[in-house]
Order: sequence, then structure tokens, then C-alpha cells
Amino acid sequence: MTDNTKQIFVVPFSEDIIRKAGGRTLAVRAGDPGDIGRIAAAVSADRLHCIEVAADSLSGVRLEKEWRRLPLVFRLKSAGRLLDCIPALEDLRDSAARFYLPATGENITAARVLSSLMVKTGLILDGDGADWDAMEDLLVYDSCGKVAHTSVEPFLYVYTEYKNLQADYNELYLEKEGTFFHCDESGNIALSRAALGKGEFIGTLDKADTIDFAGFSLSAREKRRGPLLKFEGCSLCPAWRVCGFKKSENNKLCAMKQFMTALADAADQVNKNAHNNI
Amino acid sequence: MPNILLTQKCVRSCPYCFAKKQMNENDGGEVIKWEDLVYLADMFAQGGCREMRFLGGEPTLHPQFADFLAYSLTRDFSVTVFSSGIMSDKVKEDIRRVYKTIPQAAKNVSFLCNLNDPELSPPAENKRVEEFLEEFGAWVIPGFNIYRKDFSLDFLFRYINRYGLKRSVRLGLTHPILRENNSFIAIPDMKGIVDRLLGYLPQFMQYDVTPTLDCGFPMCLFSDEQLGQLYKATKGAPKFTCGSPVDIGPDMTAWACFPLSATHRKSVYEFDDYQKMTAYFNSFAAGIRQEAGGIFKECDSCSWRKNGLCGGGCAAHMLKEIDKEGGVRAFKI
Repeated sequence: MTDNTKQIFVVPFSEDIIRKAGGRTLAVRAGDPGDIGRIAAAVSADRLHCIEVAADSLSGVRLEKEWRRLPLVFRLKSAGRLLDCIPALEDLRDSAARFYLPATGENITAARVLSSLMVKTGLILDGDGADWDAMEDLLVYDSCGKVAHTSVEPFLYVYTEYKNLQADYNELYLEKEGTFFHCDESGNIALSRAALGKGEFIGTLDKADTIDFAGFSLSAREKRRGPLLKFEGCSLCPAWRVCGFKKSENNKLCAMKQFMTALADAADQVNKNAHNNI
Repeated sequence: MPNILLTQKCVRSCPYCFAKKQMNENDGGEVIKWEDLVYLADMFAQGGCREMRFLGGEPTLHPQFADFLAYSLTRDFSVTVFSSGIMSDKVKEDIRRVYKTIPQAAKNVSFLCNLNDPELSPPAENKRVEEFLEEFGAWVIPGFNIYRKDFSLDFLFRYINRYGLKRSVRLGLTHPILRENNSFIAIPDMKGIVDRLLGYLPQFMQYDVTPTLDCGFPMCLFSDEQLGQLYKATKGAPKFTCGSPVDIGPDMTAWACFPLSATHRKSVYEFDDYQKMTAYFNSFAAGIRQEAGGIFKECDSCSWRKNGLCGGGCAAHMLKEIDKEGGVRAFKI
């Protein structure tokens, strides 16, 4: 988990952007898996938060041996066919890479299969079409399974970071506002991925020293507390402990409620079990 | 050892079909889901069972058959596929890929093909079976289900020699299925079957093929001389007891075995673990044997049965008799 005073810059890969970012901690978006080696060479390990790679399907991913220890995060559209993944399975298992899929029914099944094969996976919860019932079923498998498998994100993150009875999994997706600042190819900085898409910038990388990032972090924290200050909607929902108020703008009890409540309860139980040595 | 029915669909319609009850109960559209396969793999692994047995219908008709095969191998299970050998070119291509990309497949995958006499089967079916045997013969254990008194095994030796199949044949007696109308060998005909079967022992010895008797053969049908011959042919003591398999359907319903599938069905999810599941169905089969003794009156006082050398024939015959006494009794064992 990142501390509240730390800022991480999510940047596209270019030599120019890396130079402009100076000594700041970076999450670098690779346009192509071919960039991974060059990113690792350009950014030292101590300031590399992760390398985010977009790809269509896991079956097309081939990892080089020298990438094994790199913090790779693949954002995939689907897992593809297991039979197609088999030739690369050993490399997928051995690497530190985690493979994120949108949380549709088919991908949730794929995450379960891959997790049982010891491939590190994650599910992206914010996209349309998330299957919350299937997520809850996977959560039970993940938290109660009797046979060794790798944990699926965001479950592992929430179990691990469920401190003071809450954890904000948005950090996992480089989405925690005030911690992650998103940059485009020209070095423009935005507060979120969405704001970057809309062109709502707060400054540029080459003048980053003049930006009050700590102030933005503080206001982001205030903003996160907002929904809890009203006696309605999210403040009355037990899921707030982990949901990060993703749907708070609707101020309604949302479709995530049941799953997020189960996730918080599972985190609670996992932590109690660990405490009691079960 | 549990059998997993990947699908109820089949490409054949054998008159003796053990799975007839399941096939008749639904349209065959249901297939086992990935989530359930993962659940079973976990359950088996935790229970120390390292073998998956894929059955159908025809298991290769499952849309993810090859992926299931690859998955099971990757989780260090050995896999036996009970197949007719009739499958599409696409499935065969997928199987080739499994053997090519997973090194342990050559050792840990086998196909148990229940072969029907080609003289009694449609030529188009024979052609497809032979194409499969031609390519995958080295991994095929031939099987034969005896459902007629005038059966012939000549074709099995021909297939084994021509296609290089494994030199072992699983020989099954067909049994009645409770409340179904399948073809099976009636008890009075069993002695004739055994005599005819042992008539093939010289060929078994000549071609170095080991006959393996499936469950349901009572030991007393064999003379001492025949038992001696069988001992040599099977390269060790033949078994006359029941292995009590568990069958698991695509909807995760489990039952003791196909012939007993009309009763004592439970969801796999009702069992805490693998041991409790197998213990439940073993206890059901043992209950039938306790109630009925065996398929012959003499079974009650038979010392071979008491000493565990013989199971007294298939429990399906016994269950059928019990069922005649009262419609609900079979379900109360």
C-alpha cells in the first residue's frame, strides 16, 4: 500500500517523458509488450511502481525470462483459450506479472481457472457488465478454498490492506485520486484516468515542481470522506469499507453493494483467522 | 475412482447403454462447467485422488474437452477418457496439440475406447473409429461390453495388432439399470458367456493381450481349471469384486455407478470432502449386498463372498430383485 503523502505518476512510455519526470515514482504504460525491456532499462527499479501493458488476450502474451521480476500489470480484454496459454504457462506462473481482466462472467471463470493453475490474476470491477453474483462466488472460492491457488485481485489487496476495518482497492488499479496522477504523451497531468481522457489538466510534468501535489492529495482524501458525511446512500451501506465510493455519485444503493459487503466480511474473517492462527 | 460425465450427449445408441437413464432424463444439452471442474479437481487433489476419468455420453463432444484435458494434466492429474473414438477433426486436432504441448500427456492420458463389433455397427461409424485408432492407437485401451450371448472378440485382436493399441482389454458384462429397459446379460446366461469368453484365452495368450474383467463377474461361474487359466492370462489374480466407482453428472449430481443410478443420488456439494463422498456410495453398495447377498441363492452362504474374494455379481441385479418386492424398498437401503 502506498502512503498518503506519496505521489505516483502514471505515464506513457517515451524517453522524453521519463526524463521530464525526473526522480519521481512512475507507473509506465507500455503501448506494446516490446517496450517492456526498454522501460526497465530507462526507469530504475526503486522508482518503478509498475509497467502497465495493454493486450487483447492472455493467450497472446509471451514473457521473456529477464522480465520475471518486473512488476508487470497486464490489462487484457479476455483470457482466450486455455489450450493456447499452455505453451507459456510456466513463464506466466514464474513471473511477478499479474493479469487483469474485465469482471464479466466469462472472465471471472477464467480468473478462477488461472488462479487454480497458480497464475496471478485480477478482475477490473468498474467496467460495464460486471457479474456481481459470479464475483461473490469467486470470492468464496478465493477465501475459503482448501487447495493452494493464487489469490485473485482485488481480493488479496483487500485482505492484506484491510486495516482499521477499511481498504480502498482503487489503488490497485492506479485509480486512487491524490496518489496517482495521470500524464499524457505531451506531459500534461490530470487527477484521474477519466480527467485525462477529458483533457482536464492541472499542469505539466516539466513544471511539476510548481504544482501542490500534497494539496491535491489532501482534497482527494476529503472528497473520499464526503459520502460518509451525509445520512443517506453510501453512509448507510456496509459496503463502504471497501468499495471506495465508486458509485457514490448516484447516491443510491448500487449493484456492487452485496458483493462489496461480502468482500469486506471476507477480509474481516481472513484477518481474524490470521490473528487466531487458523 | 470417480467418473466425471462431461456431457450427456452421445454419437452412438448402443442397446446396452449404461447411461441410458441419464440420457433419457434430459435432452443431453447440459455440459459440465469450468467452475465445477475446478471444484472437482480441488476436491480430488485434497482427497489424494490423482486421476480424472472423463465420461459421457461422448466426452469429446464437450465444447471445452481439450481445454479440460490440458487443465487436468497441468494440475498433475492423469486422465482416462472413455470415448467411442468418434469425434470431429477439430477435436482430434486439439488432442494432437495437447500431446504436443504438454510433455506429460504421453504418459498420463489414455483413451478407454469401448469398441463395438464392426460386423454389427454401421460402416460409417467403423470408419471413424478406425481413423481414430490409426492415429491415437498407442494411447488406446480397448474395451468391450458383452451384451449378446453370441459375441465375438476376433475384431479386438485385429484392432490391437493393426493399430498398436495397448495390450490390455477391459471386458465388461452389461447389467440391468433399475427401471430402464436396456439390453443386458441375464443371470442364467452368464455361465455360457464365461465359457465363450474363456474360449478366447488362447488368443489372449498368443497375442500377449491381458484381459481385464470389469465388475460383476461372479467367481463361481469359473471352474477351478478356468480360474487357473485366467490367472495366467491376467498375469495375476483376477478380481471378482466391485470397485464401487462414483459417477458425477454434468449438474454435479453424484450416484454410485450407472446401473445403480436410479437411487441414492446426491449433489457433490453435499459432501465435505472426497472421502465422505466415496464412503457414502460405498456404504450404499455394501447395503445392497448385505440385504441381498448376491445374485445367486448360494451367495448367502458362500465363503468366497464372506472372505471378500467375490462380490456376488453386480448389485444392479440385486437391486432389481429388491425393487420387485416393493417400489420404495430399493430407495430405503
